[in-house]
Amino acid sequence: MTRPDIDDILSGVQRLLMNDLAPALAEQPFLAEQAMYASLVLEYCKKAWPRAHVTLAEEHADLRATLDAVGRALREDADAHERCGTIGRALDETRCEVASTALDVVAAYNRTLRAEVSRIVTWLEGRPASTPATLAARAATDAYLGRLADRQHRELQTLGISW
Amino acid sequence: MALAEKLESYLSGKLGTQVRVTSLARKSGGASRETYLFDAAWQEDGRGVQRGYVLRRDPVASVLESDRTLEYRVLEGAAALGIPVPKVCWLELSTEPLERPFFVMERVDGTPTPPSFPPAYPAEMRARTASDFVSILARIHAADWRRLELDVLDDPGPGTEAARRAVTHWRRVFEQDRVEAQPVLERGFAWLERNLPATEHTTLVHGDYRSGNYLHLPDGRITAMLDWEMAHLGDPHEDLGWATMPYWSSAGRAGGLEETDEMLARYERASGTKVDRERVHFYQVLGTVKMAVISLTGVRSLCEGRSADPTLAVVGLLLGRLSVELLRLLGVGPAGGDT
Repeated sequence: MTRPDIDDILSGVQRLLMNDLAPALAEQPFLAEQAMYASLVLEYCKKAWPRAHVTLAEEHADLRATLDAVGRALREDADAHERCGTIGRALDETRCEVASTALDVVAAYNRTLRAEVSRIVTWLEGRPASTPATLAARAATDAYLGRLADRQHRELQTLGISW
Repeated sequence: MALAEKLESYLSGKLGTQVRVTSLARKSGGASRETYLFDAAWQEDGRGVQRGYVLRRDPVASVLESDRTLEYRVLEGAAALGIPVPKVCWLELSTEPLERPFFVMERVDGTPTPPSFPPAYPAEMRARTASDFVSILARIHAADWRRLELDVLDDPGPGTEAARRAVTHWRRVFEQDRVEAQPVLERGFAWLERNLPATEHTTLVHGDYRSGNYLHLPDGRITAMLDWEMAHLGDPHEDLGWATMPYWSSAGRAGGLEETDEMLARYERASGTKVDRERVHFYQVLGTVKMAVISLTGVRSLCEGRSADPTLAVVGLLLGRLSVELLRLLGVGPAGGDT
């Protein structure tokens, strides 16, 4: 990417917000504060953008591995054939070479795969908790939930504020 | 016409005399309403009167859809029960005077805190606030709400109905407002639906009882509890779970005030009732899920272009912290197991 790159552009908008607009809004503290928050959000974008493809690729691989593990766990379960079918279709429909696929397409694929994990979490609730298949599938989804929460938390830490 | 002029016109009509509005300033924060402080001055019996007021107006888009009539009437009722709250003055449901419904209440002395009591404040001040925080909550829960004829509140009665209603309400908001799948919250709701606790009796529940929602004096005394828009009848443990949930904690202290065990023991002494720790845990889980759902409502407002508030983007990112806290409460993760 040539200059001005995303960082240059967002930094310019931040200077406008903080150096020109916020002081001009001194008589309206609420709006001046909104300008400050807008700049903070841009700071997040500056930090998140360079890592976006890494974050999306990491989640894509994690979702596929999770659904694959759930599918394997449920394969021998006679009541789970339909579920295994939807898992297989979700994996097929979202197969891609992440490095050469546009970020918004990977993000959409990840949403599809996350929705499938979500349906499995709900489906497992209605299953006998102690069968080996259920235990293995739930272990896989729970482990994914932990990694998902950690990734979301890292995004929040990128922002660098507490609330 | 500017907001101050519209307000002058409205108040002049209400008071039957010419009212002058000055120092009108919008305050940041406020999950469900726009909040403005202002001074109003008028003549009464030949002498000048000046008072400070707070205007709470419905926003264009919000992180929380709530009923301002309910909030107004509960504030009236709480005042009648001797609970420290701002005195409400006028409720206006018509959109004509100020474009959106609003109510006006008197300003109360005191300053707000952040959502966690600042650790830099003196220990004596924190102790005083902690004491007031718990004793006011005990008074809210002991209040005879039946005396108030708050027909806007629906009594769920004893048993699991109070918990079921709370979970069902937030599940409905979740289904309506999420813009994409949220598997961590699905896990949270599933746990809540499997673990509904029973309550022996229902009380008035503030619904947002925490640090950040009171005003205090420099010595720590609490002068008013604010933000009653989520008030309802339910299990008093709901307020205890919300007040002590990890999200509001800092330095190992619930709401930044004192350790959870200390706070619950203090509540037992103040209320003369026994706290069920398992039920507090249930309501900490519910509170964490509820906070996450509130953030999703903000995200939806932003994604649908109904709000330009940049803080909603920040609120959306908070889901990361809430997800980590929720899984920890459920015992899900490397150190956990199914609960």
